[in-house]
Amino acid sequence: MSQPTANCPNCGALIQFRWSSAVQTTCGFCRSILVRRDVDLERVGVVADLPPDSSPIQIATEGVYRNRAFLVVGRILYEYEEGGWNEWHVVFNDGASGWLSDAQAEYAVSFLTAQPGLPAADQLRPRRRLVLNGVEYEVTSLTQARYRGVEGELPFAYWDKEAVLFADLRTADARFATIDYSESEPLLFVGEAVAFDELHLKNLRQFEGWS
Amino acid sequence: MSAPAQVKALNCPSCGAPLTIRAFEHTLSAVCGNCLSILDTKDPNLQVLQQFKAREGVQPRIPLGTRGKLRGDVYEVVGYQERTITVDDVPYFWSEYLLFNPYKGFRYLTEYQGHWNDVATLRNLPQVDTRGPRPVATLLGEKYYHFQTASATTTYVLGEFPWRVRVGDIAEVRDFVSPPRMLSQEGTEGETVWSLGEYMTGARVWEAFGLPGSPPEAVGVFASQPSPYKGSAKGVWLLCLFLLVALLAVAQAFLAFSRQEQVFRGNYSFSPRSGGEASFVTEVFELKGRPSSVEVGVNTDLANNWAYFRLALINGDTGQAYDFGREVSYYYGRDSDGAWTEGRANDRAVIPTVPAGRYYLRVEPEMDAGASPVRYELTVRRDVPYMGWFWMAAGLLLVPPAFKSLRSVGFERRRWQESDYAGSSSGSGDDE
Amino acid sequence: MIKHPFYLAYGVLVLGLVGLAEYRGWSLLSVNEVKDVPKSVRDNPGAYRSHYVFFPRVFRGK
Repeated sequence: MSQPTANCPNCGALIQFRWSSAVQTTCGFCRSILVRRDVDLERVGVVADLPPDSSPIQIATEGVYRNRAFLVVGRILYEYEEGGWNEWHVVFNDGASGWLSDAQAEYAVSFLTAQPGLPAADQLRPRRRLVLNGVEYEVTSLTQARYRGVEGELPFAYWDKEAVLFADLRTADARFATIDYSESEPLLFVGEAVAFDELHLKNLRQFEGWS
Repeated sequence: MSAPAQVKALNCPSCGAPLTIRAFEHTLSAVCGNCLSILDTKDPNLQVLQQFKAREGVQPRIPLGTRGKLRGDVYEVVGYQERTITVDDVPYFWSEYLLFNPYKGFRYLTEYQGHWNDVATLRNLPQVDTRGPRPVATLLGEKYYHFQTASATTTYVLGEFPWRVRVGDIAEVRDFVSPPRMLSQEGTEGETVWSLGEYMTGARVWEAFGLPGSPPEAVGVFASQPSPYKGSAKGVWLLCLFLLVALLAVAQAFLAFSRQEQVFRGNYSFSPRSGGEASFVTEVFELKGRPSSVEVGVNTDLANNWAYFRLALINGDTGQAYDFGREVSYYYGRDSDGAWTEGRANDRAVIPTVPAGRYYLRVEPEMDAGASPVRYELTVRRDVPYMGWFWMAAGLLLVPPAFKSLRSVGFERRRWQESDYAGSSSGSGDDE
Repeated sequence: MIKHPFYLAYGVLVLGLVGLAEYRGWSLLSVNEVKDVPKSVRDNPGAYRSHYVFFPRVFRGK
C-alpha cells in the first residue's frame, strides 16, 4: 500500500496517509480538516474537540477480519439521545474500506453495499422484517444521531452531519446491517456482529488499572 | 495515540462523599452510595437526576470494584441494581451486578435466592414461535421454553451504569429456558434487547471473584438450573432395556438347559372320615445331577373344599429330609357380580438345592373331619427353574431407572413451580 | 452404557445372582431340613415326627 504524503496547507506539518484512497483527513498538529483535491489538500474546517470516550480502539490499531488484515485509519464519533458510539474506518491490504463499529464494546464490521430498492425510512418500524440479498433481517432499532466529531482518514468529504437516521437490522445468525438515511439515497452497510477476540486487535488504547 | 484513559474520582454535589468512576466514559449515571443520589456523569456539574430512598443496609454480596475472572477474562464489578417483580401480590427481587472490561465490554451477573447467572447481551436474534401451548424461542438451533413474563421495576441502584438509570424504571421481561441457559427478552415499545444467561453456582462465583466466606445457600430450583438427573435418564433406561433383554436370555437359557425331568408320579385318594393312619410313603425315585431344585406338585380334584398336605422329601441313604407343608383349596360360585373362584386345585412347591440321591416322599394329608374325600396326583420334577427369581430380578433392574426418573420429574416440577405455568405439567418433557 | 458404571455393575450383579440362584436351585419355600431320619419310617410312616414340631393347622371354611 503506497503511503502518499503531503503538507498541511495551514501549518505545513507533514501528513502521511495510511490509506491511498483517503478523501479527507485531519492534521494532527493544527487540527484542521483537510480534503484531498487532486494533488493538493484543501483546508475546510477545524476538528471539533472530540469528547473523551472509552473505545479501546484507536487510530493505527491493527486487526484481522476473516483472515484479512486491516488498519484503523479514521473515525466518526456519533452522538444520540442515549449516548454515543464510534464508527472506526478500517482499510484492508487491498485498499478496500470498511467500518468497525464500537458501541459500548459491542463490535460489528460492515461494508458499504450497493442495494437498489431500499425501503424509505418511514416504512420501517422495529421488529419489521426485511429481505436483503436473500437474507431475512429484522429491524432492531431506529436511531436519530448526529456527528459529534471526526478524526483521521475517511472515504468521503463531509465531516459534520446534524441529522443521521440509522436503521439497525439483525438476523438469527449475528449478521448485521445498517441503513444510513442521511443522504438523498439511502446507503446500506452489511456485515456481522463480531466478538472482540475474533478481531485479534493490536496496538490498542491503554486503560488505567488494566493491562 | 490517545493517552491512557483514566479512572475518575469525583465528589457528590449533594453530600460531598467521594465517588470513583471505573467504566471510564461509558458511564452515564453514577450513584452516590452515601446519600443515594443518582448523578449525571456527563454533566460537568454532576446534576442530580434522582434521589431515592431505600431500606437500610443494602450491601451487594460482591463489593463494587471487585475483579473476577469469567470465561477467561477479567471483569470488574462497577454497578449493582435490585429489580422487583410482583406475582400474586408477592414481591420477588433479584440482584444484578454490572461487570466491565474495557476491551470486552459489559456483562451481568444476576443472583436470585442463591442461584447465579452469567449474562451477556446477544448478537444473534432468537426466533419466537407463539403458535403452540406456550411460546418457544429458538437460538442457533436450540429451543428455549417460555418460563415467565413479568414487569420488573428497578428498586435499588448502586455504582455506575452506561445508561441513565432510575429507581422506578419498569421493563417488560420475558424469560425462556433451556437449562442451563436462559434467554431473556427485555424491552420497551421501541427496542427489545435479548440476552443470554448461563447458570452458575454460588461456589463458582465465589471462586471467580475470590470472595471470602461462603456463598448464600441456593433455595429451591431455579428456572435455568441444570438438572442433576437430566441427560442420564434416557441412558439409564436404555441400559435397563439391555439388562432386561439379558435377563430374558438367561431365563431362556435355564429353561432350555434345565432337566425338568419328571422322576415320580403317583395317584392317591384321601378320605378324612375313614380312620387309621393318614400318612404314607411313596416308592423310591432317583434325583440325578448337581444339587438343584425339586418341584413337588399336588394336583387335586378339590371342589369347594380344602386339604393340607404335610410333605417330606427324604433321602433314603443319608436320612436327610426336607420337610414342608402345603395347603390346597379351591372354591367357586356365583353371586350378583357373576361367577367367582378362589384358590387353585393344583399346587407347586420348589425345594431348594437338593443333592443327587435316592429319595422318597412321606405324605400326610389332612382335611376337615366331615369333608368329602379328595383324589390327588403327586408329581416330582427334578431341576426346574424357579420363575420367582426372574420376576424379582426384573423388578430390581427397574428400580434404579424408575427412581432416577421419579427424582428427575420431581426436580422439574419444582423448577416449573416458579413459572407462569405452575400447576400444569413440565414444559419440555423430554429427558435430553 | 459406560456412562452408568454403577447401574451396569448393579445389573450385572443382579443377573449374576439370578444365574447362581437358578443354577443352585434356590427357592423361597420354607423348608425345614431334618437330619438322620431313620429307615424305619418307610415301614412306619406314622412314626415320623420332625423335631421342631410346629406346623400350623389352618382351618378354612366358607
